[in-house]
This record gives sequence, C-alpha cells and structure tokens, in this order.
Amino acid sequence: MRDPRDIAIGVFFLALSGVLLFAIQGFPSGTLAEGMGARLMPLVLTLCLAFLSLLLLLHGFRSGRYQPGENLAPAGRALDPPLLGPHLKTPGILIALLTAYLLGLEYAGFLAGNAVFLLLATRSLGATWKGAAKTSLFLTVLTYLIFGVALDVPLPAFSLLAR
Amino acid sequence: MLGDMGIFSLYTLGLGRTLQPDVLLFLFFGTLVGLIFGVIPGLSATIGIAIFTPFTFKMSPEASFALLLGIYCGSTFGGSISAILANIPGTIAAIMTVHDGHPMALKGEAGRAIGLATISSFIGGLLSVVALVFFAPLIARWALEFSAQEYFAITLFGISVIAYISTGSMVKGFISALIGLLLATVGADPTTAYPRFTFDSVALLGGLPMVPLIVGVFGFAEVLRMAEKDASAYRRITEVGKIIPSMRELGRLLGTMARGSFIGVFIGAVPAAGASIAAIISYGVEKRISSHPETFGTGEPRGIAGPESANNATTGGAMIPMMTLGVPGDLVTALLIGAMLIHGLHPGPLLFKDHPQIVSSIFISLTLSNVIFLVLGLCGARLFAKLITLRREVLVSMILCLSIVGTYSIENSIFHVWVYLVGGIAGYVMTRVGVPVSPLVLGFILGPMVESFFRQALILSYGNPIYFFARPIAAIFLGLTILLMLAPFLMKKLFGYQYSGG
Repeated sequence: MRDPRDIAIGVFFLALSGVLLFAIQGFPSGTLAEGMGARLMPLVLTLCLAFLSLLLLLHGFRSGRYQPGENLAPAGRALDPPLLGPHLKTPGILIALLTAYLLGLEYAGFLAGNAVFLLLATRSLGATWKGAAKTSLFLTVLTYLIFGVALDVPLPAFSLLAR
Repeated sequence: MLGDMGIFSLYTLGLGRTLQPDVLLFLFFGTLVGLIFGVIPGLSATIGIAIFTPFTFKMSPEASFALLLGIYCGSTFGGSISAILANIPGTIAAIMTVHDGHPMALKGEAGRAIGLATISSFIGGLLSVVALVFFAPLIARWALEFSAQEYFAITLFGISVIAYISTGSMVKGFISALIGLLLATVGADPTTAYPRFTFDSVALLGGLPMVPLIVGVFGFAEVLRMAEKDASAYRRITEVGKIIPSMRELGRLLGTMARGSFIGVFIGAVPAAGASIAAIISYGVEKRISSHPETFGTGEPRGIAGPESANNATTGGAMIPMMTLGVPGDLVTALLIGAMLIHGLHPGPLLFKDHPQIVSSIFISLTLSNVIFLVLGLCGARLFAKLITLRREVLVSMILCLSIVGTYSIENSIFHVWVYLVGGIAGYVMTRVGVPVSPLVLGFILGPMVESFFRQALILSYGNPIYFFARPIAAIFLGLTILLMLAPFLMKKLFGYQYSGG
C-alpha cells in the first residue's frame, strides 16, 4: 500500500530543505582548518535532511498502492486517528484562545487576561460555566501568588485605560 | 580535584549545601509533584521537568536539581499507582506493572501491590545511586583524556540512538533529530557572530530560547493531545487496604529486586534505552527463571517487584553517561542537561573537576528523593489514588496555566510564550503525522555541543575528518553510529527483517 503520510512528510521536508539551502547561500563559508564558517554546519544538516526526505518519499511511493479505507497501521498496532476531523475542534479552539490571550496580554494584564483565557479554555474542554469560572479563578489566583508574589515576577498589569 | 578525592569524600562534599531547609523543601516538593505527575495518566517525568524548569531560573543550582531530580524519581515511581489501581500505567515506565499489579488490586490486594511497588522502587532507586556514586567518578576520570573527536562521536551516537529507537520509522526519527540540530543553529554563530536564520530579529540573535521550546513541544503539545480525547471512563479501584508488606514477603523478593536493580542500572546507562525497556527485560527475566511462570499476569508479586526495581534503577543509571560524558541516558536526562546549561554548568568530566559540590549535591538529592517517595508512597497512597479521578478540564487548565506563566517568567518575555505556542503546535503536528519529537528535543539541546565539538575536532584534525577515525574511541562510536544508520538495511540483507519506514 502507498503511504500518503510518508509522501506528504517527505515532500514537506524536501521543500524545507530547498528553502534552507537557499537561505544559507549568503552565510560565510570559511575553511575547514579554521574550524569552518557559519555555513558548513547548517549546510551539512540540510543536505542530510534533503537525503532523508527523499528516502522517506521513495519509501512512501514504494510501499505499494494505497486503497481508500485501508488500514495503514503496522500489524498489531491501532490505526492512527485521521489527520483531519472533528477531534481537532478543541485543540484548534485552545490554539486560537492562546493566540488571542498573547495578543491581548499587554492590554488586559495578567489577572484579567488569564482569568478570561482560562474560563474559555476550561469551558471549551467540556466544563460547565460555573465549573469553568471556579477553576479559572482558583488557578489565576494561585499562579499570581506563586509567580507574582512568591517569585516576584513582574506579571503584565492592566493597561488598557492608560493606552 | 577529581584525582585526589575519594568516592566517599565526593559524596559528602555537598552535604552542607544540600541539607539546607530550602533545598530539602524543594526536594520534597519536587518528589511530591513527580508522584502526582506519575500517578495521573498522560503526564510524565518529561512533562513535569519541562514545566518546572522555568521555576529554577531564580534558584540556586542545588535547589534546582533537588526540585528536578525529585520530579524525576517521584514520577518514575508514581506511574505504578495508576497501573495498579486503574490498569493504566501512569507513565510508560510502569508498563509492566499493570500485568500483575492490577490483578492483585482486583483481588482486593491493591495496598499490598502498592507497598511492594514502593519498596521495590526504593531499593532499585537506591542501588542505582550507589552505582552512580561509584562508577561516575571513575568514568569521569577516564573521560578527562577525551578530546573533541571523542566528544563529537559520543554526542552524535547519543542522538542517533534516540532517533533509532523512537516510535515509528527510523528515517522520521533521524529527520526529527536533524530538525532539532538545525533549530540549534538559529542565532549568532558562536565563532564568527554571523546571524543565522534570525530574519533580522534581535530576539533571535541569542538563539531560540531552549526552555520555552521544550515546554511547548512537550507541555502544550500534550495539552492539545489531551484536549482531543473524550474524558474516558476506566475501571478504577478506590479501596487501597493494607499497604506495608510483611518482612517475610520482602525477604522472598530480595533476589528479584536485586536482579531488577542490576538490569535497570545497566539499561539506564545505555544511551536512550529507558525505564520501560528495563521493566520489560526484568519482567521477562523473572518469568523465565520462575518455576511457576503461569502465575505471571494473575497477580504475581515478582511481576511487580522486578519491573518496579528495574524502572527506578534507570534513574541513577541514566545519570551516569549524562554527568560523566554529557550524553543523556534518556529524554529526562536530556532535559536535565538543558537545566544544567541554564545554570552555567556543562555536564561531562569537567563537572566533577570544577563543581564537585554540585555533583555531590546531585548524589545526595537522588538518595533523599528515593527516601521521600518511599515515605510518601507508603503513607499517602490513599490520597494519590484519588488523583486518578481528577477531571480532565481541571488538569489541562492547570498544565496550561503553569506552563504559560512559567515560560513567561524566565525572562519576563511574551516572545518566550510565542515560542512555547509555536513549539507546542509543531510538537502536536509532528506526533499526529508520526514524526517523533524526542529526537528533535535531544538534537536541539545537544546541537550547540555537536557543532562546537565538530569544529574543534576539525581544527585538531587539520581540517581532515578522516582523522576522527584515527582515535580509537571516536572511531568506535562513529562506527556504531554508522552501523545504527545502516541497521535496517543490514537486518533486511542478513535476516530478511523488514524495518518499518525505511
């Protein structure tokens, strides 16, 4: 069976190798006796990456033809979950929430930003609004006491009005 | 200093600095956290250490290693509690404990199983510290003779072994290691200060921040994986019962524990061969030499004592190559190397020469951590049993909160949290498509060392890499690395064995 995952990964890393080879062209090369320039190490690594990506790609093609619905997992192992599907909804929400949290942290400050972020994150994980509020409040206060008070970390303060 | 110091003197040198109230408190806290991380399925020593490393930035090296080693020892043992009570190994190290631990719990002997696991883990852990204390200084003294060629070869070998034994395809393991090594080249070139892959960003001139990336790859990626799943219901035993086993029973199991400990120390010291492999081998040995092998899998005490002493014995064993050569014995010790670098300490023979107090403090912390989890395991098993029922949303939110704020607190930088986010997404995607993340992390941690040793070795070899093979130890390790890379092809040719993934 052809393994579409191996083909996709091989293509991705081969493309990445191409981009890296282009990027390191401008690096000074130096000489071996001088202990190499800035270029040699990334160059060696990138060439190895390109070679292995090609191997993976070939392996993906040589594995045979993939039949739709065929179990790609090796014998005795469970089939991996599909790459895309509804199971990615909650991870996607968490990534979006964390991105929004980081973008707004400077304005909202730690206490408000963290509380809202945790409230929505906990709720997205299946908690009730009441349970999410309790968890969010408890964890925000706890981390503030550990980091802000005990470890004296200057956590971002609320600055929305000042701006 | 190493040459004129006896093993006992080295062990006791750091007593004064380690037996301070703050260090002991962090050691206790670390062991407790480790136990909690071990008990909760899905969490592990790796995630625990990754999350708590940012806490150590403002701590003394002694307190830092007390905290991290406590987590290491505590979680290696803690996995057995959920293996016994819920039939789910809390950590991969407890993979074999489920076979006899859970059947014992189903017979109403959960307490006895936990007691046996605790005492076996303690004995395994303690004997591994003895091995570490005796062998590490000897190896370090020998390693003082090594030059850059040997270090380059040994470091490369360590990365190759991790890539080789990683889950799934070996090619993907090596690709992952190469990505880690490439990520390590980001920033100003250490010799010429030429900016590499910085995209004119000042923040990247110093390289990608190590801890946020690792916490992201393990911590945030694990959060995303946990968020995928529905809260699963599994059969849990809540009645623990009598915990401390009889002296007679312990006497009968002493041989099993000694064999398990020996296997654990040996396997732990082999780069990349971890606690789960030690537990599997120990279980196999005990079953093979038993006159009643049919009792294994039905609640046989030796099926707990062997693997549990073996998996905890890997803790000291894995520290041997890490401390003496700078080559991690497993992923946790790779993270410990990262933590050492943060404190300006370079693992290897010079650590014993330049910082013997720290070495001593590590030995003592490991010893005491084993004592602490023995007490906690025997006295608090009933409390830890309740952790298995912790709700997923609370657990995930707790990990998220601690890891985000911990990452921020390293340099009070939101950029670090962005690295955490991107690292987490990358780690999650990699595991979803079957590319292991452990080689990436190892490559990233060891990358600067590999490049530095490679450059020094080239200078010493007058620019000719062939001279690497002129030094016997370097030649052996380079030969082993090449053998590892060719292993799938050789196995196919010689034995007709087909390796998955090329």
